[in-house]
Amino acid sequence: MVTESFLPSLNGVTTSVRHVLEQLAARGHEAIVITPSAESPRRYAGFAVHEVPAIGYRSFQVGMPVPQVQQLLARFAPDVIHAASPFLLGTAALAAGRRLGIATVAIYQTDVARYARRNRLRALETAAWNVVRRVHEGADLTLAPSTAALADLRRLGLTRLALWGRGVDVHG
Amino acid sequence: MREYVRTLAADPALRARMGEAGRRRVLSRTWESVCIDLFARYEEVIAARRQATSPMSA
Repeated sequence: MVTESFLPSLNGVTTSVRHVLEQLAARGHEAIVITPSAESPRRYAGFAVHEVPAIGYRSFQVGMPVPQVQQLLARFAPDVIHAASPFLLGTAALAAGRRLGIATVAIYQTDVARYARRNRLRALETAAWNVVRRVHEGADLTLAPSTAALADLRRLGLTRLALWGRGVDVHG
Repeated sequence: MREYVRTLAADPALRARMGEAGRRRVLSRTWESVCIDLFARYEEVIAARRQATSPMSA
């Protein structure tokens, strides 16, 4: 589980990641969490949480190997890498997955481009869509939260796409 | 909007019916069922990756 956001930050990405980790644990799967350094808990749902300092991946060019991320993934050798709302760290993990021959699923979630459009930041919107395309091209499969998001990704020329709705917490 | 609230406030049976209908709608979207969908996607990409890397699987 490679996530751009984790506890103590509370947002939609963190919430999804927590639920997925809990469901993995409930089924007896093994996992690790890789996240940017932000004083996250050391463990969650029984799984180790590894923090990667920003210097460890921000200074690298997109597509270049990020040793710490690649080492963590090579050592754990998962069946699949789940990249939650991938940006800098997620992109590094997707590239590492490709290099290591590990299957990858990317979750499209942040919607930077629509945010830019809403706020009339046209140049930023174009740049944001280009980033989204480049990031998600690197995944075996990208999951989008709505048919509208799916259509956006398809318009970018991305092909390995599917719908994945988020959960509703019925217990409040 | 005010009219709808008034209608619901005056009719406990309608409230209960609508509440239950709403609950039934989201029950299929519990995190458990949503994650079952996700793990099925995991299996797909894992299988595709194995097929791509195994020379015996053509």
